[in-house]
Amino acid sequence: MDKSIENRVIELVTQVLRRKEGEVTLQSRFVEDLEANSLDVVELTCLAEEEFGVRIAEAQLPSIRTVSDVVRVINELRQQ
Amino acid sequence: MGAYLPKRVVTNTELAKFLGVTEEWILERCGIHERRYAADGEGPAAMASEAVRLAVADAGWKLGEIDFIIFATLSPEHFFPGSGVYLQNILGLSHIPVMDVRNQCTGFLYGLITADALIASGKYCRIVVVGAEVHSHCLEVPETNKEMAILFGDAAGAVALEVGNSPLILSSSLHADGSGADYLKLELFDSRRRPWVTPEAIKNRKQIPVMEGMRVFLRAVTEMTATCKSVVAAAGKTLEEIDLVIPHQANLRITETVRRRLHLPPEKFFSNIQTRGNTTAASIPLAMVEAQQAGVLKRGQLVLLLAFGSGFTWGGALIRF
Repeated sequence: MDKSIENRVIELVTQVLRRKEGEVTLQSRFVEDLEANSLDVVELTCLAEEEFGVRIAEAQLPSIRTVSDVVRVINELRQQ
Repeated sequence: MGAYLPKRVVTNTELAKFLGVTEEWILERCGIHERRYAADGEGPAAMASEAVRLAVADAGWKLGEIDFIIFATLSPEHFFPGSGVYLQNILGLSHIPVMDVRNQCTGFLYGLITADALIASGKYCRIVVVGAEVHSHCLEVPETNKEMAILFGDAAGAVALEVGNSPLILSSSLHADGSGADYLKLELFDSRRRPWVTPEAIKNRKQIPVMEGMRVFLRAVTEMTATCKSVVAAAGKTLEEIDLVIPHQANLRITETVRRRLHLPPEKFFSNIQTRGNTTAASIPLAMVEAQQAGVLKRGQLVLLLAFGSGFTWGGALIRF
């Protein structure tokens, strides 16, 4: 796993969900742990697309449940 | 330019009570504090007529000098005829052609770009493009889709375009992708069925629009961002040269995400959705009027109009205002 992607995704999640520094980890679940709604996840996805130069398909959205899922999707897309 | 707003203000306090949600729930989903609802009996053509009168006066024309009207709405009075003829009748302009545009939130841009081409063709000299919507009629029922009900408002907005006058479209693009048609629609009327309107359809609340919010959000951000970049590049300009972006006021979270992806400062991305809601085809001309009233939109500026909506349809137009 690319640590810089992990750290930047954690920063983005912290910023979008207005959490305190250190509250968000790779294991954080969006709905259960971070009280995010579906639009939060999409907003985050959109910003991650721009940041990492990838295009996340609509069909991939349901598989994004944790912060590490975002990192996984980005890594997969960057390897393609 | 001219705009019309119905008098009734619907705050989040009122709407939250009606929908059984909290005010915070509404605000965090769309950034809207209040919106306007048309009065009973007030339709899009009547609202559009007020906006057209103001736009014509603002342009220094007489009403009878309009030689073509393009009317964009997704909420016509009736299934047919379109709202254009009702508007024409209210205005007493029975000698001119009117054209209805059914491209939802992108309707105004489709109309504007068509008007620009009609003027360039030399066939018409003074065209009014108007967008007007009455959404509230299908939102004010208790079973309303809450995610939809919080978004929409009623309004009308119009611009008057004349040969040789601004706004001049420097570059533009229009798009559609029907594979997204089912993600945001109102399906009460279905001419494939016999009978085409059934008691079951009404019982199943098919008169209320449905939306797959996540899909619409993702696609809207993707396409609005890409269109912004391509339309600006097509005019040989850079994003830094743009004085103001006036996006369709879809949802504050969508437009804010687009702005952040484009790395534009908040002052270059106009927003009035907080008090107007999403007024679909009326949204851009209404925002233009209010941006000018606020002193943000000024003559001579390089302005990008941007829209995305049901269909999916989307587009952009770079104008010298």
